[in-house]
Parts: sequence; C-alpha cells; structure tokens
Amino acid sequence: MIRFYYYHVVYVGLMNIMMLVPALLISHRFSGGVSAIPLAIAAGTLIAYLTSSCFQRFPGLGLPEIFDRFLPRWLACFLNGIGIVIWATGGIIVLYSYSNTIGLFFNPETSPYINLTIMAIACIWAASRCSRSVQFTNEMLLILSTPMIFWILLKAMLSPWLDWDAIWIVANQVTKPPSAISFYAATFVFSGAMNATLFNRLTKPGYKLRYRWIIPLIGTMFLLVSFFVPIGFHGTQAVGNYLYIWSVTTDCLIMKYGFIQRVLYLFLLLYTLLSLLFVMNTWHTAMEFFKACFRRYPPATDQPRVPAVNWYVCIALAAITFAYAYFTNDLRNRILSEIWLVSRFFIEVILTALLLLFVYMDRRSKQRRRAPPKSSGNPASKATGS
Amino acid sequence: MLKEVRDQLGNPDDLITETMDNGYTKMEFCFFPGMCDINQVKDGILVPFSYRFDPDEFRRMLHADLGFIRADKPEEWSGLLLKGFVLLQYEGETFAFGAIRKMQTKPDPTQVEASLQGPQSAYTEDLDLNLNLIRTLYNSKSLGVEWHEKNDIASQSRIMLLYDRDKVDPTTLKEVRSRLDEVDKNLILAAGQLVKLMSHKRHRMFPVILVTERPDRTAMHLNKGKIVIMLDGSRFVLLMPVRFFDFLSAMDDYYEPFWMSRFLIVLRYIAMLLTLTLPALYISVVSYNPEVFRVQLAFTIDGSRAAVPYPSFIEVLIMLFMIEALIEASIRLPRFVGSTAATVGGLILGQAAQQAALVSSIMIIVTSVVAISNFVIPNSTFSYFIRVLKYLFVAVSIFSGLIGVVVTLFMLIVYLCNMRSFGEPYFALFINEKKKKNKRNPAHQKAG
Amino acid sequence: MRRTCVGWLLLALLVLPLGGCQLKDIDKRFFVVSAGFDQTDDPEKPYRVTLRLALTSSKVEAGTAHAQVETVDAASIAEAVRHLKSNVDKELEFGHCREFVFGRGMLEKQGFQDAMQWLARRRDIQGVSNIMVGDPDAASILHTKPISERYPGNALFLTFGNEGTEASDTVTEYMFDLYRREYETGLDPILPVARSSQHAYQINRVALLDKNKIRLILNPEETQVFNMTANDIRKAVMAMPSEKGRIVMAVTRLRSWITMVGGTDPKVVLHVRATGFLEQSPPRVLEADWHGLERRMGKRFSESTEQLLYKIRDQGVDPYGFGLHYLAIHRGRQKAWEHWKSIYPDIRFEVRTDVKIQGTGMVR
Repeated sequence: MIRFYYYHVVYVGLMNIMMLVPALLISHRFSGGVSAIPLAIAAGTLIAYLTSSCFQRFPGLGLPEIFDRFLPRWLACFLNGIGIVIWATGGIIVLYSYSNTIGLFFNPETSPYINLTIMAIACIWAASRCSRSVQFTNEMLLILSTPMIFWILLKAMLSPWLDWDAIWIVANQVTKPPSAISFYAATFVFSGAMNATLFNRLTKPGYKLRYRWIIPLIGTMFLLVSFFVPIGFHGTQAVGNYLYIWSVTTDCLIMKYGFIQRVLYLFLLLYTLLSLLFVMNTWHTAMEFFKACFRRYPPATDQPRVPAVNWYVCIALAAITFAYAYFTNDLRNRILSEIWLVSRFFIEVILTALLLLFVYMDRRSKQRRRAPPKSSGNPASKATGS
Repeated sequence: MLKEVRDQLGNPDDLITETMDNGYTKMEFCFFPGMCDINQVKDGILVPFSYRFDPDEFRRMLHADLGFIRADKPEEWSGLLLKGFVLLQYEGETFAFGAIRKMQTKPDPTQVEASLQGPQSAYTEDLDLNLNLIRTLYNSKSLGVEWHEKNDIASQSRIMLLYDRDKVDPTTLKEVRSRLDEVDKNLILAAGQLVKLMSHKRHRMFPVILVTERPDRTAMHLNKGKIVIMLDGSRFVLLMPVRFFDFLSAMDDYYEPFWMSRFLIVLRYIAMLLTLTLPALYISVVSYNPEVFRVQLAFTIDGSRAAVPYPSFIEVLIMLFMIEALIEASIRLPRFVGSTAATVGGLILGQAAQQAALVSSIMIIVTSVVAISNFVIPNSTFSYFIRVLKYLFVAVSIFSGLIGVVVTLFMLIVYLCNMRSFGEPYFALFINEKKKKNKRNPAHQKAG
Repeated sequence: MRRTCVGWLLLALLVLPLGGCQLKDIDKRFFVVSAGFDQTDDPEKPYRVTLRLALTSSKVEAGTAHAQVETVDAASIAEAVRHLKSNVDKELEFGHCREFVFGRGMLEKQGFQDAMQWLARRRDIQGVSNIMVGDPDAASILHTKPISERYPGNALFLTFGNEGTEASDTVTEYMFDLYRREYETGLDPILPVARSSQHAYQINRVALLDKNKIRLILNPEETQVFNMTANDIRKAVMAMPSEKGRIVMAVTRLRSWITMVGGTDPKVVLHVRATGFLEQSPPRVLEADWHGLERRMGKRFSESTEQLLYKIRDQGVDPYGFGLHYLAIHRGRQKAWEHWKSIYPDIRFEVRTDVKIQGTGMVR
C-alpha cells in the first residue's frame, strides 16, 4: 500500500501551481528566488525522509493516536487543533482561489459564488467519506488526470516558443543569496509527504516505504517546471506582469488537432479535478483531527456509512470558506496564502522534531522493557514489562 | 391418505387421486398430472404395479429404488405434491416418487450476453440443469454448494449458494448469508428481484451484484473466490461481491487475442464516458462555453442551431426522451415489429425533426452516439444505471456548464470509491494483493 | 427516508436560483472572428475599432461564409467594444477571435502598447492569437472577403502558424510572444504585415519594431531570409544565379543558432545549417561540382543574411534576441546590459551557412 503515500506526494507537488508558489518565486526571480530552490529541495527531502521514517515506526497509527500515546490529553488536543487549522486553511485557500480562476475563465459574467457553491458541495461530499474511500479516490483521479497533465507539461517543455536564453538568464541568478519567503514557499512541493500524518492509519504493521528517492525526484521536477517554464514563455520581464501565471502559460500552447484547441481549457478542467482532490484531502484530514479530539469518535478508516459528524464538520468548513470568500479579495488571498506557506513550513519542522522525539521515547521505553530481565532477572519488572 | 391430501389442498380439480387395484392388492396413489412427467409415472409405478406385478419385487423396488423416498409424515405430503412428486401408499407405507416434469433438458442458447467465440450455452430455468452446467465447467473438489431453504416462501423457490471453499473470503460469505437471511419477501420470481432485496440501499446508483446467464462467467468468478447464488426458475444467477470493472467486461475479453480484447475494453470505457457526458457537454458548449471547443465545431453548431426555437436543454431533453421511448418500445415489441419501430423512430423521425428545425443536426448525432454507446456496455443492468445517470449530468450542466460536468464527474468517482460490495471495495484498482496466492483462472490460461 | 427527501429538496432550492440565469445559448452570441485597431484623427476618440462578426450557416462550402463588419470610434478600445455591443443584436464573443490587426498608421504614430494592454488583460483572448500589421490600415484587411473562406475568418487564420499553407515569407507572431518581446531586454517585437488584394490576403513582409513603434519593414526576400534565420522556417528556397541559369534549392531541414566570439568586443556568429534538394537547375550541374555548389550557395546566403543583419542593426532593433543571448552567457545583469547597449550599434556579424544538398529531385 505504499503507492498511496506517493499519490499524496504527486498531487500536492502538482498543486503548487494553485498555491501561488510559482507566482511567489517568480516575483523574487531576481532577488534570491532561484537560489532558494536547491535549498528547498534539500530541506523538503530531509523533512520528507525523516517524517516517513518516523511514521514507519508507528504503523496503523495516525498522528492523533501517536500524540495520545506520548502526550497528555490536553496537549494532544492542542496539537490536533493546530493541525485542523493548518490543513483546513490550505483547503479553503485552494477552494477560494480555484473557484475564482474558474469563474474568470469559464463563467466570467456570473456571480463567483456559483462556482464556489458547486465546488464546495463536491468537497463536502468528498471529504466526509471515510479515509479508505478517500485513498481510493486519490488513486483513481490521479490515474485519470496525471497522464494528461504530464503531457501538457511535456508539450510546454518541448515547445519551440520556449526561450532558453530567458531561462538561462534567470538561472544565472542562483548566486544571489536566497530569499526566505521563496524558500518557505518552495518547500511546499514536498508537503505531500506530510499527509502521512493521517493516512498512516491505513498502513499495515511492518510496512516498509521503498523507492523514497521518488520524492526528491518528483519534487525537483515539479519545482523546476513550474518556475522555469513560465519564464521561458513570457521572458524574464513580462512574466512578472501576469497574475494567473500558469493559466496564461498553458494558453501559449495549442492543440492543432484536438477537440479543445486551447490547452488552457484542458489544463483548467484537469486542475479542477486536482484542486477538488486537494481540498478533499485537506478537509478530510482536518475533520479526522477534529474527531480525534473527542473520545466518542474512535478512528475508523473503513466506514462506508458516513456518520453525521463528518457532514457537520465539512459543512462548517464550507461555511467558513463562504465567509472567507465574502470578506476577502485577490490581494488578501495572496497575503493569506503567503502566510499559510510560511507557517506550514514551521509547523512541518516542529512536527518532524516531535516525531523524532516520539521515536526516541518509543525506543527507550522498549529498551527499558527489554533490559531488566537480562540484567537482573527480576520477575516483578518482567511482569510489568510484558 | 387420499382424504388427508385432498383436505390439505382444498380438493383441487387438477389433482388425480386414485385407489388402484391390480387384482392382488391395492395402492393409493395421487399426483398433479400437470407437474409430473406422465411417462416416468407410467414406467416407474404403473407398469410394475399393473402389468408385471410381483409383490416381492415391487416391495424391493419401493425400498431400494432411488426414485422413491419414504414420506411418512402427513404434513409433508402436500408440499411434496406441489413440487411434482407422486405420492403412493402401499401396504401402509407412504412413498414419494420423483417424476417432476422437466421443461428443459438441454441448456439454452445465450440471449443477453452473446459471445462470438466463447461457449454458447446459457442457464435454463431449471436449477438442477444449471448445477450440472456449473459442475461441468468448474469441476473442482472445493466447490461448496449450500441449499438455502426458507420455509415461508410461497413459491418454494430453491436458492443455492455456491462458492469455492478454498478461495472464498469467509467474512464475505458470512455477510452474504446474513443478507440472504434478511430477505423476507415471500414470493421471489426472478434473479433481479433477489438482487434488489439483497442490496441494502434501495437508492444505490450502481449495482453491487452481477447478474449473468453465462456458466463460464460464473465459473471464472467462482475461481476468483466470488460467491454465486442460484435461484430455481430463473435463467440468471447472482455473482457477488463484484467490482465496477466486472460490469464492463465481456467474456470474449478472455477468449480474444490480447490486443483485440484490450482494444475492446478501452472502447467500452470510452463509450460509457460518452453516453454519460455527451448530452451534458452539448448543453455546456451551446449555452455556456462555446469558446472551449474548436472554432469549426462552434460555428457548425451555431449554424445548425440557428433555427431551433428553444434553449439547448429543452432540445436535449426532447431528443433524449424520444430515444429512450424508442429503446423501450423496441424491447417490448415483438421482434419483427421492433425493427420497423427502430427504422421509423430513428431514421424518419430524426430526419424530419431536423428538417423541421425542431432540433439541430448535431443534436441528432449526439443522440444516436449516446444510444449506440449505451448498447456497448455488456451488462444490461449496468447499462440501465448509466442510462439514468446521464440525466444527472444533464441537470448539472443546465445550471453550471462545463465546470459542473467536471465536478459531477469528480463526485461520481468519489461515490464509486465509497461503495462497497459486500464489504469489498467497489471501485479500486490493484486490490488483489491479499489474494496473490490465488492462481490465475483456468480460462485465462487456456486463452493464453 | 423523508429526511433524505427534504435534504434533496433543500439542495435543489439552493442550487436552482443560482444557476439558470447565466444560460446564454450559442445562437444568442455573435462570434468575433477578427478585430482591427486603427488610429483616427479625432483627438477625443483616437481609437477606431473594427470587428468582423461571423454569420454562421448550417452549410459549409467555400465562398458561402458571410460576415458582418462593424466599426466604431472611441476614446479607448475597451469603450469602443462596449459601444459596439449596442450596434448588434447579440452578445459579442471574443473566445474564437484569433486575428488581431494593428493599423500601420497607429503603429507608426502611436504605438501598440495601449492595444496590447487591452489584449493581455482580456481573459477570453487567446494567448495564441495571431497579431499582424494592416497595411495601409486595419479596416481594409477586415473588409476583405476572400473567396475561398469556408467559414468566416478561416482564410486569415489558416495563413499563419503552418495551420494551412506553410509559406516561407509569412512570419507568425502570437499575442503572448508579442507581449514578451514588448518587455524583454534584448529582444524586440516583430509583426507580419498584411495587405489585402481584391479577394485575398497578401502576407509576405515583416515589420520590425522597437518597444512601441515600427522601425523597419522588410521586403519579401528579406522577410524570407529573416524567417529562415530567426524562426527556422522550413519550406523555403535558396536561390543562386549561375552562368547556365538559376539554381534553386528547396530547403527541407533548417537549423540556426547564435554564438558570440570575442570577450569585450564580441562578434555575433549566426550558424545556419540547411538541407534540401534542387528544385530547379540546369541539367547535371550538381554532379559536376557537388561540394562547390553547396559552398557557393552557402556563401551567397551568408552574404545576404549579413546584409540584412547590418540593416536591422542600424535601425537599433534586435528582433533576433542577440542581446538576450549575450545576457544569458554573461552574468551580472545590469552591467552586462549597459555594456551590450553600448556595443550593439557597431557590433560585427558573421554568418556561417552550411548547405547540404541531398539530391536533384527526379532527374539528374
């Protein structure tokens, strides 16, 4: 079942476009955005490796269960709360900005709330399913949509209109000292590994995460493509003028023989699926974290009949999205997503540290159990140990 | 005995009750002539009793012949008679003689799931013959057969539960048994009815039980560890648990060469997607996003729609209604009238509707593609579900265009992924890992 | 049971009023197939916008395409388009508009940046729209009715981007590329020049612009050379006179790239590698001196290209992107750019053409 882990890596990597990561990097293209990329690749890979190794030690346990095992109840709940906030916000930002993009390109004359409503209903429906169903959906949708997305990316990379001189000029900026915010934003590409926090519940005892070299490979590829391809199409200067950078980039491509001639539309339709997928996963994670705060809801991963509380939590999240959409605009959304990208990085670091601590505690308690019978043979300690 | 039987059954006129006397001794004797094979009765009872009567031999025959069963309990008598047994009382002992009239003696030809190169025989309405068909195809020691009896069923339909003891998942088997126990309808006439009773949710959008008439499909599924339910009097058997993909596979896929069958499978999935989304896509292109599809297409649609007096979705609904009515009519009509109806409806009406500018010519093409693609789906139950489901897409596209269609597609996938067929995932790829130890099915080996 | 019913009803009530209102059928929309922008003499309303609207019919045949042309003057393009809406009975739809014509007069006096602003801002205008200069003005191009058109606007649209013909002297310029060239350091805009002739379009020249206005218009021969060296256009010909008659090679494969030699005082070297076969030549010329012919042909092409490069350089524009390439291989952006600007007016060019003749066609 390790492939499910990599699905998370792939779709989160692809979603960097909707999280405004390329826009942020490109706005810093002459002030340290480029040198942030290799640093982010190193840091992201390190975090992904560490967390995945830690989670392997707790098969079948999600992060809330691990918290419960090592921490007092109130602290576990508090940490769950942070998890809820960070995951739910990610979903809300994507839902808002994507419904905006869709409204702009597909139904510009209508109220933006219509698109938001449709997508929110789909997200409520999807996120309230059980974890196992969510995983199956991940697999299905990725198998359906990634081949075409990769094809679009490849088509973009092989286009004769791609200006390699412009890419070189920007790549030469690698000597500038890295900018902090670009670094935080770029590490988002590797965030998919973090979804193991919840979906580790579905792993079987003794599972081994092989092929972990895929993570840096995929992350590096996505990061380079999503940063350099727009520069290649729009040049070093004009690229900074665009707001919807990747939509405009795919609009430079044309399918001469396709039913849909503008690659832009195909791209947006595919990304609709991916964005819904992303929101589904984030909201689902937030929902499960919320449920983990109450003893009434033990973790259940395979539960085709949806309990009412799932509906309530997801509807609440959708309501928050609507409120957010009412009070925000493009600029505020941009600022919030930057804040989100930064705070997400720090929370990932804290989480990694916590996990390392838990692994250490786990190992020590096991040693303590094992050690006494050897050294002293004390029957009392043996009894407590077993 | 005769009086009791007559009392129990309310003295029906089609019951023959006779006290026979061959000069030496007497025998009480009753049966429903309509339900019994009269030749068997003659050979088995009448000839030994009347023409070549030998009291010792006759007694020996009654006790030793497999055709005769002791039936001493008076309360069983009426039930046995109703199943087509002959009851006879000789020297104070009662026997039942199985002379059930068999309508079918050889397997039916396949009617619903035709195959080009596979076996052409299908199940009949006789359970024993069906069992024979399966036992022949799946000739394995591990085949488990359970008779599921329910007392209060009026039709006394016999229900058989078949599975491979080594390969079946015990939890699934338990689940199936309990579901079968929960069925409380007292008159089960067809396999489809049992399917309906066994699937919990009545409003499910997809079938979780595969109904088939092909013994080879049954054998293949038995080999995969699936459970089979057979019903007396039904040409179809039930397979469970099944997955989404089973409904889109025809048996020919296992018999045809590799690339051919892969091609056909891909074709079927594309056809399913077309029949689901094409009307909805038409509405979205015409009413919301004409700029999405290529310019020639937009202009052609625009030109052909110029004279159509109402919005696109009314046009779509009219044409869909027409085609559904046509399909429904040609199923119910006798076969030779059916083809006429199809010609009238499909050709003449379509052409006329377009010329009268009631619908656009593109819409005619859309409608026929939808109808044809729908017939590509090999399983008829499944194709019904798809037929209904496309209206959901149409409804969404009326309100939100192309994006609505994509979002609905997403929701559909989520729905499918959340479905379980008797506890097993319905729409998930590569989940056979836990059954890796199972050998591949023999049909596959033969084909390869 | 009842609860789910109520749930569905509520959902329907929620969704129904949301949708439906924005449903606009295709036959209530007017497809704009090409748009032209000109300058007027009126300072109050300096922009003249001409739109070509498709009148579709169910029959698609050559010559049956009908179009309606609307013109309006306004203070800005956006306002002009809004005014135009009141002239027509349906909603204007720009989604399928892929031809934009800038009037030559506008490009010479006022520049294209305002028009470009509007194009880049509109969400429904394709990045791959073709942009061209209308000579003498945009309106004349839009009023032309080509006989071969199967549906409105397709004649113009098929001319570009190898969609229909693959003419060697037609330069294709997309909207996104023009926008890139407008802002890029060391890369200047180019635009094909279209002229209407009776019932057809003639697009065989290219205009070279600085960041805003036309500086130079190349003649068809120069345009072909430019197109071959800058855009690697195949399907071109290389011709050379000889004592017995003209020798013409049809190019089947072409590749060009730039290198720079020399440190502080660089020389731009343009490499061209062309492969082709003889389409017209006196008999048995190639057999007599295969390599010599290749060399002579290459030399001749190099010479004409060098001439063109110096001509372009003297106008102070850089459509090839030499400056961009210089920046790419020299780090330290700001200083390099200043240095390049100072050396570009007297930069030296060298063209090295490597011609390979594959054969002489069907006869010797």
